[in-house]
Amino acid sequence: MPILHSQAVAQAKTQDGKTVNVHPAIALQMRDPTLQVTVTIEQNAGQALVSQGKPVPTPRTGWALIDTGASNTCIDDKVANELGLPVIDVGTMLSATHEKVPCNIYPVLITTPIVNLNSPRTMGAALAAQGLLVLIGRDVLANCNLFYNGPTGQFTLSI
Amino acid sequence: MPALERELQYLSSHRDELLKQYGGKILVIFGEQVSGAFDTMEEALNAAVTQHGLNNVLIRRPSEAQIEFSAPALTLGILNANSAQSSSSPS
Repeated sequence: MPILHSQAVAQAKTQDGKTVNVHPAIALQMRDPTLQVTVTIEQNAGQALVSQGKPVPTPRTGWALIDTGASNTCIDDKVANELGLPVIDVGTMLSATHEKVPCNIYPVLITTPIVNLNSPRTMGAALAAQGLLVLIGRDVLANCNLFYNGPTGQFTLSI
Repeated sequence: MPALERELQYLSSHRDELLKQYGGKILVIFGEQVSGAFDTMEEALNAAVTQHGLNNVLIRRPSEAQIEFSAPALTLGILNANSAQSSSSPS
């Protein structure tokens, strides 16, 4: 069973301007569980391209945040466009302050050095402004075990 | 034209007959035509890309409603991955 184990790391400046390491527990609390990922087209769609001798969209790398508050997984809409991912449906994003916003749905494969996460229905959203490429939501987490170890500043994701 | 407008319109106006014909299958709809009906999303994606390349196609069960997505932290703009660092290792 592939297991991704991650330790939060962060730095802060003291009053005299010295850079110091923050305790991992605080680092994880401050920035949520994040990991570096690569995204490309979903596995089965990618296999179809390969079997026809067509190129698979060049993978893109960036930060993913595990968000147990998100019902679905999201990819930055601009990156999905640049990768040339096909739109396979249109959904709506619910917001407390705005009306429902339509958003495209893409088939995406999210890879880490250890775990591959297939996300056949990934919502497009503007994530780049938050420094994110992907938001991993509960649809993908439905196939995973997630262990959030607050005291040690670590989290573990396995499928 | 917004993505899949034609396909969504076709699904909406033919829902009953598509349900009758294909039941709970996942349909691949391109333009105003069903180009395949499948039991799994994996099969549907593979067939959709085989037939239509990277063109936009609607893949959905006729019985399914539009997905409604909720991510409070995202919509409130309180996500932040700046200066995020982590180290990962296999266990």
